[in-house]
Amino acid sequence: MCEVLFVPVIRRPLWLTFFDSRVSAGFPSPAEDHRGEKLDLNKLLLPHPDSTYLVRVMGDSMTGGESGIRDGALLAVDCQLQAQPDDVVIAVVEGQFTVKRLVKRKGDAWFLVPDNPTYPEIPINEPDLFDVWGVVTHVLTETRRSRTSAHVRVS
Amino acid sequence: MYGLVDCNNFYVSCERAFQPRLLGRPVVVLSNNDGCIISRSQEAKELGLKMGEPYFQVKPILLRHGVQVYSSNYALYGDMSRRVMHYLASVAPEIEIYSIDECFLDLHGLEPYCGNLVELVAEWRRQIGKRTHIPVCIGIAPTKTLAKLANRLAKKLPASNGVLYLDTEERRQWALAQTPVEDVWGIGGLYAQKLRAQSIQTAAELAAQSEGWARRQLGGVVGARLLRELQGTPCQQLAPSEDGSLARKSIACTRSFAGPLSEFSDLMAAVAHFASKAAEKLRRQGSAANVLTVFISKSRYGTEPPPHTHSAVITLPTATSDTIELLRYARTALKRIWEPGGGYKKAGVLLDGLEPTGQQQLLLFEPNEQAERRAQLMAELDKVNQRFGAGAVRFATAMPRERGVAPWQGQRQWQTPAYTTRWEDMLCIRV
Repeated sequence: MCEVLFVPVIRRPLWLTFFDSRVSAGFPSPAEDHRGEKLDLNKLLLPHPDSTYLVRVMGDSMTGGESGIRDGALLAVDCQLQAQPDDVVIAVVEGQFTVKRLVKRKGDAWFLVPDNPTYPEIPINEPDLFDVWGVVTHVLTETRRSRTSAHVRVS
Repeated sequence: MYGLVDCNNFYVSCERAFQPRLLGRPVVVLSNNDGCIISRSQEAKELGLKMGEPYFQVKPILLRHGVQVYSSNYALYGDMSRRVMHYLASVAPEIEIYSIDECFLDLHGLEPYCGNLVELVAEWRRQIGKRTHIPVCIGIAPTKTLAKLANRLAKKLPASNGVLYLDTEERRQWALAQTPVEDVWGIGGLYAQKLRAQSIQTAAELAAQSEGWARRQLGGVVGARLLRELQGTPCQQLAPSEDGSLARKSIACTRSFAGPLSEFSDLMAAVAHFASKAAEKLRRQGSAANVLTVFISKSRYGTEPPPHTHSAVITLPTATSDTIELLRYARTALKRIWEPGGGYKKAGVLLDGLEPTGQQQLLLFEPNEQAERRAQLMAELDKVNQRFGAGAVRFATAMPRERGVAPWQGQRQWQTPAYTTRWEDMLCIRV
């Protein structure tokens, strides 16, 4: 007999108060009247918790471009989305994971393109050896070293 | 119509979801303590590896064929199971979670609205594959017993694409003829022997018997029901939890030990640890238990004759989720079954007869005020342990006698990270 444990994704809402009025300096604002709705950051980042996985990125092949995926960034990956051209995806190439931009060029040619131009593009020549594992929807990076950087697993 | 969804080689598939390089290669997962094989990939099955074979016996075969071996990683399997079940609950009218990797579906009345059932569940199957990367098979039939049988055949027939619907009488007959009698749901090893002795080899031959015969030969009304289910008349309905939630009907916490334990205090520490963990799970889903079972087992590979497992069942005076209460009864139960000098390899605690908290019948003589304070204490305990890590505050009974690794923590030499449930273990990709 074995232990069967259902582990819930911790998805307690994190309520941040959103003020939708501009601050008027020097004038005491009756804040009660202007308090906006409360925002749940999880709802924004994880709209589909049952098909979303968190992934840590190591390496700089995606830095310097539009996606802003730096070494050590945390990615929210939604697997229920259908990948569209120009999406950043988690791809499986010959059994290995990689994070790249899925690009479609003339003549139905598909490529996995790194944001960092010093890395080579990967043409998808054999669709059988290629799979989209999930679509990257959000990137979490830090502007100063603090708690999340402690979660980098060196492997 | 009922459906049965079964995840293919579930534990192996969970490992493959996060290590795609394992696709197409032989993989096995070992039970707790790396004892024996509990999940095999198709490639491993083809090498002749059997369920339950002890690791030490098959080690040469594993090495020779380069089979990937993993220790079980229940944090991962539990989370992946939850993802599969949540999806099914969101698309099917009603579901019954039957085990970590199996789920019955109630599909009654869907056909007029959704059209072709096969196409519908094939899409569910595709979605599960996309969302969780777990391959599943789905059997559909007029009864749960037949749905289970259809599922088994869907797995065996590549042409079915993982979905088999026994919608006509011809298909039902065909499916029954394909199924050996021991593979019918509810026919155990002993009944199978008995049936074979009467030259009943297939499910079709069993289904051709009379109800009176089934009553006499297969344990009364249970046997009669089994027969009618095979004949296509539903006798069992889904048993979803009343509020439609995914709360479990029983909670088990068991482990085998790294080495044999003999002293009462050592076994009590292990049992107390399991009871504490089970009670914590109980409170997490807002339930209270009516029945407590404690069992201890000796090695099946030792010199002693069976029985190797002894268990004691205690019906609690009131349903409870209070660790203090449960520990007290667990001690009583263990005292009944423990014998000096026995080298025990495994122990476990099962909580059954679960009901939502707050519905318990109160005892006439129990001071209610104290119960409230105790519930508060348990809530605080859970809060502390959630914040500072599991087992940060424990009952002294549940502490191992010596410092260091508790004997029930066992060996997990080849365990993969808990990719989805621990920050430290998050999937990491080099780019």
